[in-house]
Amino acid sequence: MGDDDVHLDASQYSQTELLHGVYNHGYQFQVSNLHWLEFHNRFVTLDVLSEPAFQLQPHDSLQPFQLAFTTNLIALNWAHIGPVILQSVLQAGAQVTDGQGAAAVFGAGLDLSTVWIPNLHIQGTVQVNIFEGPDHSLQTQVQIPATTVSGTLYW
Amino acid sequence: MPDMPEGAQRSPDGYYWWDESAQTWQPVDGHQAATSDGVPDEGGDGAGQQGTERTAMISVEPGVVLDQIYSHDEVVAMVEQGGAALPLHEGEALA
Repeated sequence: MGDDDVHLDASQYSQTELLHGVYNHGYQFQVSNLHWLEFHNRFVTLDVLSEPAFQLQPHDSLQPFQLAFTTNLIALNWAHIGPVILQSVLQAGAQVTDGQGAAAVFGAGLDLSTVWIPNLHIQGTVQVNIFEGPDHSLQTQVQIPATTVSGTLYW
Repeated sequence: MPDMPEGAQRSPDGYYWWDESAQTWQPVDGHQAATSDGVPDEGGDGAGQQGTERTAMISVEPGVVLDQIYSHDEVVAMVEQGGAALPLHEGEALA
């Protein structure tokens, strides 16, 4: 019985080890005719597996079990990932220009309830790093190496 | 201008309601009409009245947002939710 337990542990270790690696998933999300706060709420609460306006695509060809784990990891944690992305966008304090070339700053400090979005496209990469954790567990790191927001804003 | 139906979605500022049939925002009575492109006109009062059109291009790199540890059972469950199974190495077997 004891031997079986040892064998099972070794098998489990080998299995989870198969997931070790770095996985990049591209995502994009397109919205139109929303207030910024509506966009914010929709983005941070979206179900990445079923939201039609949200696309998640691995950069590389993955085995089904790799795709399943990394996609579920992102989906289950989107409520943490989404707010970090939007907060970063606001903190960036982006310099934007209007049709007359006048400069303005979009970001923290702006009354976001006044911001209207005729169209906005947000895209980026979610990087999942998987390596060995304690006791043969899997340690995962989710990073957002690049996010780009483009579109038209009114305020 | 159509009447606002009961239960219509209201904008956060309360000045507009979403017209499903026209697929545009309509002003609540007493406020300025939306333009043909669906964007509320500027010049009125309140947050729903818009100022200047601005074109934005913002690039950021937020960094690490999650650092978590999963047990084998949690990993297997998350894989199975995606309709896949962890493969076994040759000669291995799960009890």
